[in-house]
Amino acid sequence: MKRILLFFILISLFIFNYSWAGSIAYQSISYSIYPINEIWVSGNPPTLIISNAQAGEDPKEATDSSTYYTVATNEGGYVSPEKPKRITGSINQAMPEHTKLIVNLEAPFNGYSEGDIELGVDSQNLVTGILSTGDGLTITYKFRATAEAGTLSGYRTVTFTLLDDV
Amino acid sequence: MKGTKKLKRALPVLLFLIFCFLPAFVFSGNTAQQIVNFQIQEIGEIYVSGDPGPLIIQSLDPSYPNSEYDTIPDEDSSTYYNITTNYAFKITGELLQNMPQGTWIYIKLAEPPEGYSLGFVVLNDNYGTKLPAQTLLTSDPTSTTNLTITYKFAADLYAGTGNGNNTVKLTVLDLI
Repeated sequence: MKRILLFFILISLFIFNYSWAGSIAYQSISYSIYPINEIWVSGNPPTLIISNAQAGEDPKEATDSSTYYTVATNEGGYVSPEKPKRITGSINQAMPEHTKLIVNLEAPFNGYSEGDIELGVDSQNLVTGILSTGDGLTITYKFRATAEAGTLSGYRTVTFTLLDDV
Repeated sequence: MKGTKKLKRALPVLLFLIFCFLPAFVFSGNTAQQIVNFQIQEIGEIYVSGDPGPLIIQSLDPSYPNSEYDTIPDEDSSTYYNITTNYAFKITGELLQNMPQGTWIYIKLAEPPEGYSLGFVVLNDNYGTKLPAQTLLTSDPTSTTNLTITYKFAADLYAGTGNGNNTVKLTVLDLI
């Protein structure tokens, strides 16, 4: 009986001491970091204007590199298993005949640019193997047309999407 | 001669009786004195109300990449502490385990009257190594309840994703 009593006294002393009384107190904290994957652009590029050509050749392409993009992901860090990302691009409507809209995205430090890609309504990879963040990365557009395109004007909405690179 | 012998025999008994009753003789009468010793020992008791809620990071700071942590830190102020001390004291905070690299746990203790809180203090370094820190100082004894404990959890994008837990130890120590 005495032993049982002693046992309970010791147990209660231990619990009392360990949890909260005395000059020491303990708190358990739990934390989580959810996946974060975001991409955004600095704005719209100016109008791409084709206005001259060398005689006998197709008009010279118009180029713009004035806009940039930022990509942020926390799935390539040193805690979680690496989950590479990719960026795809598409336009909302096909380009007029005899014209091409080409885009080239500068890759972040840990990523691979696919180079010049002609945009269409179907998504295409622009940057792959992204394992890090990057900001101020250049977006270069090229607008090409052959003489057969004639004269025209229009606009397209380009959508960049950050996805798992599987 | 016979009387001397009797006196010699009675002397030890007499001395014994004097020895036994002397204290009573000294301390009795119309006054009495006692020496009372007293002492107050150092008391430092801290109690916390429980564990804080989960700290969750789920979104990028809108001002990224010019933000302090990349992501928006999460805070919890749902717990409190009670404290009683009879001496100038400080409270230190300490994690029992290291944190993942790229994450930071901060703690802020509301200050008792005459106390001085150091605000949010970080409990680990940039590599996640635990870092004991002073959280509050006060030069006056106090007995105060319901003082808010605030935790802040911050992470950069390189911390990756995941979850975990840790334990914070709050210790009351002599200020000096």
